[in-house]
Amino acid sequence: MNRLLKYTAVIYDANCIIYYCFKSGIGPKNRPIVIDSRPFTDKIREITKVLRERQKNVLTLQLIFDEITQTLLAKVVDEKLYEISHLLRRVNIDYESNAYLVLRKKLLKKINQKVQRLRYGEEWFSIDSQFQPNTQEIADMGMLYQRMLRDPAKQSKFLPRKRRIPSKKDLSLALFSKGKQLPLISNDSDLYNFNSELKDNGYCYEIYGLMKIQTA
Amino acid sequence: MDTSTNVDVRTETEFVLGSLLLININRKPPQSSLSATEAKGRQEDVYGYLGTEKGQRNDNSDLIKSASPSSSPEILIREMFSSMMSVLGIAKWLLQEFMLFPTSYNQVLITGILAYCIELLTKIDSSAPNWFTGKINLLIKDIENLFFQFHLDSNSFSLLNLQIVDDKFDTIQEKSKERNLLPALDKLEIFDL
Repeated sequence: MNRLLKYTAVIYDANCIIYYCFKSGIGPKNRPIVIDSRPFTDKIREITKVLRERQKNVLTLQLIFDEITQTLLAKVVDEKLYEISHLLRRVNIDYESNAYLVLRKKLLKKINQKVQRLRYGEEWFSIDSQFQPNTQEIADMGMLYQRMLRDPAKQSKFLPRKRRIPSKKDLSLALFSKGKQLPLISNDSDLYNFNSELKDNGYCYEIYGLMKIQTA
Repeated sequence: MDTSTNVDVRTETEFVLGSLLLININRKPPQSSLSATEAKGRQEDVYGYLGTEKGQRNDNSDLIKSASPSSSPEILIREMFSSMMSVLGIAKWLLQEFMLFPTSYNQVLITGILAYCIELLTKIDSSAPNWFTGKINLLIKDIENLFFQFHLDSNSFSLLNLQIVDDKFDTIQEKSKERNLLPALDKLEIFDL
């Protein structure tokens, strides 16, 4: 954590922003069903608290923010409601019933409001809409990942279920960190596990795994 | 028992709609028949609707109203289809269709609105003209237009700004809350933690 405090700002990936906003209660206030992304929500909130105490800023890219509001948030709400579908029966809501669809809309709007509050209501949070990733560099990064996917020495660094090239948006974030000379916090193992390889090839500044940051 | 009044409206709908979609798909000109200029023009039309920059949302109030395709046979079939169906039947059918769209903020928004309207129409007498059926009818028309515009390109649907549709829905929901028509749905609280 101390290493992050050397900088004026830190870059968050899409997951960090979603986890930060994703904590709501459903039903009676005295006995709510809590919906969040534990342990990630608590972790990113702790990190953000420390950064804010030290007057540090948080940055992300416009294309990442658009992806969050247009599709990612809805997908996470879907997944999380599915996970707690057995608890929802406590308040008489069956999975995919009309009541469930109404609840899903309500929850998504609530969390979307929090995301929008970050954008418009928090001075420490900003979105960069100027940065344009270099398409040649994105293509070269794809080639680098292809080589690493074939390399037996590197294969163990990919999670078994995530043997893939990260999305162009994720690769753009790495390039953004290089452009800004600021660290990126990500929960994508296929980014932070290859921090040194990306750095050695000049494709990022520094990438930290969200859960690997020590806050205590 | 007179069974003629108990015809399954949905089956009729699906049949009519199936034919409609087939006509719709068959009517699409093959890509190769478009000249480069025509194709570019169409592309620009789409971006005009979706925003000036890729990924940027736009106020699509015009789109929602004017989403009807310009060809008259399709309009005729749609008019025929709409007049045959009750608003409840159309809402149920639209819900089924939008559930097949890729998950996005807009998909969740529209399915939530449709689910609420279906519950409301089931609760009140949906065949009797009143404030609710009138407002819901208009809202369902907007959503129906969106469906016909985007069912062949459901990924672009996520880029629209549907605030205007949500505002119309909020008016209906507020009134329903006032009259305590759907207490279980309206009193279900969600709060920040």
